[in-house]
Amino acid sequence: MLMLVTANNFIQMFFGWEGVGLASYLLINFWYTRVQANKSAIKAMLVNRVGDFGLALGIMGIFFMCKSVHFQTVFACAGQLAQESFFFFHMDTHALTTICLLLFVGAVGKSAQLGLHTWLPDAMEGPTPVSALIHAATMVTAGVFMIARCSPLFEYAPHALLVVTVVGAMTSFFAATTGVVQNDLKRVIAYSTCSQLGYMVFACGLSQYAVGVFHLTNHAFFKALLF
Amino acid sequence: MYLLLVCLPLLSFLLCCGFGRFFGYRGSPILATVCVALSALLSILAFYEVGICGSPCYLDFAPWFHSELFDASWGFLFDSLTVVMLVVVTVVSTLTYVFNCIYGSRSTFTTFYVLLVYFHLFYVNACYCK
Repeated sequence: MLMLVTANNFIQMFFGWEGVGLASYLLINFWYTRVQANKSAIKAMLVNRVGDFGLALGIMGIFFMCKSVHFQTVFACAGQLAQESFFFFHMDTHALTTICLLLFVGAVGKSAQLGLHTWLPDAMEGPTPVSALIHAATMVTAGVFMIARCSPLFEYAPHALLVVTVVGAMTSFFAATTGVVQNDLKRVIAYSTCSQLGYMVFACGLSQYAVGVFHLTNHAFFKALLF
Repeated sequence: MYLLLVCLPLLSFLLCCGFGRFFGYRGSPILATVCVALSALLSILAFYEVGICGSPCYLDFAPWFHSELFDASWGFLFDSLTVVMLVVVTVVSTLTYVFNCIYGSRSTFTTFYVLLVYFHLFYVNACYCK
């Protein structure tokens, strides 16, 4: 996680991102003699791979357009990039919107937004301190952190921001209503985490990154305490 | 200070992995907790310097990928967003580790702590792989 947040280029951030995913897999599988734990660990790993695929494509797109992966260079190019377009799946698409949507797929996988949220409730198979640290407070906020970090790119792609807003809002609503009918206490907390992450992504989608990060900080502390 | 902040959990990970048996199931958790707590203290200091006094810190550490146009090096960027995340991550981990010392006292797993530190740390060990 430290490598993820202190990175100064996309490749190093991706390295930290994958490292967090691997460590999460190992920790969910901590009680490896239980079949349920094995299943949850594999599920978390596979669902995260889908998100990582989007993030990797986004980084490749950034390198294709800017010929650099350093944050400063890429963010300085964002203004020029807003006029560019490239071919993606044989379609002439707006470059920045495509890149931002691909980056957002990464955030959806890691931050358990609607569609790729299924691994989070199952991840509660791990020991309680692990759930408190990783699956409630720190790791799942990596996606929100990434959106806030790439805010200069997202600002030039209003359509991507619209998608971010809608997905975030739907997640917060859906996860909160699902949490109501769960029986297992840890699963209730997992759905609550999912819902709060939806609020953060929603705030980021409205261009209020400071609000999103502020809620991230508050949520990390109270959710860790809740365990 | 900024490098130490990132490397302290790595240090504790390597010590717990290499000498975990030597420290025993009482020593390893204490070592891990102390290292993460020091890291948390340093990140609060970094928060004061970068977040409140407003002086972002940029470190270019070592070359990593270097091929024609593609140039990704090991570097650390400490701006206001990073230090906020650092404070969140390290302080919450410190609290969890302390909780862990009580929760885990009934079982004798040192591996648990090693794995937890590993989570924290995976990212740093590539400094040594270059």
